[in-house]
Amino acid sequence: MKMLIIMGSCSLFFTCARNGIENSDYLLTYWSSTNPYEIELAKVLVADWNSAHPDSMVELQPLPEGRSGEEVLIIAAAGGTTPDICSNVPPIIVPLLAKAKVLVPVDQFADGREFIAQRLPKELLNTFVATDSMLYQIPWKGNPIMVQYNLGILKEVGFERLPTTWSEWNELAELVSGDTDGDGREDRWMSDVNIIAEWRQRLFDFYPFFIAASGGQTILKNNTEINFNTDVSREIFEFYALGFREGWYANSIWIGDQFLQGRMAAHITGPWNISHTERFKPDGFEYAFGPIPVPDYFEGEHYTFGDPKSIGIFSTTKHPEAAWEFTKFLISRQADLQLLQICMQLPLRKDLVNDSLYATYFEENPMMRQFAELVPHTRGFDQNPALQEVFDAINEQFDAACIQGRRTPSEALQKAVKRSENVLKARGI
Amino acid sequence: MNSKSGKIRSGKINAGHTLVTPYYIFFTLFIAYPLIFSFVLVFHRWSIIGPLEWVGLSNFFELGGDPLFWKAILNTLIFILIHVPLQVSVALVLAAILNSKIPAKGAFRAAFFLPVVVSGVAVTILWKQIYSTNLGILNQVLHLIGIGPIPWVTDPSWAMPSIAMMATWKNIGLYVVLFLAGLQGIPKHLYDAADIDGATTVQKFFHITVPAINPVFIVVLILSTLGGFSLFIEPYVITGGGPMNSTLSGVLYIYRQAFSFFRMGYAATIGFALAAIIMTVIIIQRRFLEHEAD
Repeated sequence: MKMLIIMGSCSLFFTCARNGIENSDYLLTYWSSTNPYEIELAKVLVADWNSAHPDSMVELQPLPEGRSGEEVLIIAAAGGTTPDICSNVPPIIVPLLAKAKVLVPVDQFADGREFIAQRLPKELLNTFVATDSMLYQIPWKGNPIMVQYNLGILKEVGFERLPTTWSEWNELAELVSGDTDGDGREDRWMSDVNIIAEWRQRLFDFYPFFIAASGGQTILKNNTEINFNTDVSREIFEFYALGFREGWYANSIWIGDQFLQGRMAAHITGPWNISHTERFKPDGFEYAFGPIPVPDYFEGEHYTFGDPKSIGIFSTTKHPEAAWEFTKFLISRQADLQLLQICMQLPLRKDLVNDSLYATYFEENPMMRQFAELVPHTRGFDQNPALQEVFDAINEQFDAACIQGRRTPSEALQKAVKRSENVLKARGI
Repeated sequence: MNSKSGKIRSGKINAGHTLVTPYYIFFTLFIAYPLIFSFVLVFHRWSIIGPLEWVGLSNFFELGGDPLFWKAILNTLIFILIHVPLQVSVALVLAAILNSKIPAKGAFRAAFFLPVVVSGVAVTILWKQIYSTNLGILNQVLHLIGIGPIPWVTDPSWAMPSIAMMATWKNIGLYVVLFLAGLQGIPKHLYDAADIDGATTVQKFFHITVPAINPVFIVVLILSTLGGFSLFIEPYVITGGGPMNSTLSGVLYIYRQAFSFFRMGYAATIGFALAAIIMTVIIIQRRFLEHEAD
């Protein structure tokens, strides 16, 4: 009897709690990134939306804490606790979410595909389309990866231009790396390659170099076949192996920003680092951004990794049309201006640099213009649910061949290709 | 009379059941159900968000031919082989020192125990800084005496011993306390009698102290072996399992399969295989220790 009373009380409590949620003033829930600038942007946009749309008010909540956005969203999807909309959907997990029918395809909305096609360059849009030709994500913003240089160090060694080719990069690396204070220990390096054995780290060395050196290709062909079994990949492995062998990159774990502390001449990063640099740079610190260096023989346009983030509408939503309307508001021209102003991140948008609305912003922020010009020449992730494991295979061999120098680049590449082929065969599409 | 006592007995039984109900619920929800579900997963492919897909024994076949799994097991065993003897011996020595007449005994005891209660992640981040090859405090100190730099966590040969050293520092306080409790329970008259017989300090240690604390020794050995098998935070935070998978532990590999690649079925299979290995090692260890004790 007592048990029945306890169970009845619990049931009543949960029913009341559930009703409390459903009877709230909000029609939609929206998860933003946990980045403070993006939270600020989301607050501004949600406030604007709510004041103009009292019938479809949005409740804002930053993405719950977790090691990565991928983990949090997948766990939320597993528990059926996804929001209506999330603006921090990593495109790398979209194939997995789409396969599980967790995302609402944009194609479901009457003006969906057309709206996105008007916003994005066609070539770039195609990289977000799934193998079943559906668009399960709304490409929102990108952070083209470039190289940030410490101009003070370059001037000190008499290097007056920013490297654009591998040989120029290596020439600079030779000049800047070494023991500058004469205590017998190396204290300055070319760049801070992250040596932690995690696939994500390769998005800031191997992957942008691969995209740049291959003229905009990604590691899979047609989202299904290995595309990095090439001389370009081997040369990138050799390029990094040489750097570690010569001591241009340190095989060390770092804590703190070594670039701003003047220990690194270059730092591979995105536009978000402009505000970070401005905030924390020491007095007199001068810097500039250059493209990802390419092989000396390379001819063609400069491509790079775009580090894109998408917006997703989740199938748990009870109001998909309202969610789509809010999403259109999030990616409107005006909202994109606020994305630039508040977050210093770039909307994935056609003619970004030619649109008069953004002209003043880019005049005031010439460095951001450099990144904006690269947006149409960025590449993101292939649409395959096994892509993380493919990156892990590359990461494993990058570690062995480049960082540790225990395997030849050719041998390492063959191993990465073999493991990736097995992974794609077993778990890919 | 009989009926009354029967009612009382039945009432007591009902009260007992009611009192243990929270535990039953807890056990069912958090132990039995996950265990059974994990076992079901072993025969399936599951990405956590999609439907379960029956794959029969293929997860086991994959496990048998997965070099990374065997590497992870080997790494874990290497860690245990370094960590357990180091931990047991140092903890015993420290406990013996704390059991002797030294000043500020309480302060030392607290100091040894402090890392145990500090967050594992916080401690690991601290050690990450200490171990940094180029800027770490350890290498800076060694440089002053002309040694180094030592690639503590960036060279495959050094990484696991360095992690074992750190894990020992983190956990040793608990084992010092256990040993200390064992040492303080040894009757003093045994030492007095040995003194009369002219026994040396070493003889007293091996013939009185060691046999007397044998039960504590067994507990410490089993606990630290189990702790060794659950190695996760240290490599997860410092090395991510590298360099060259040299610090990839069994648990870290489970985590990677489950939450990086979302392969829940395969992760569950690794989990069961690891549990079987742990059980085997503990059984062998217990038999050996009990045989030695006899």
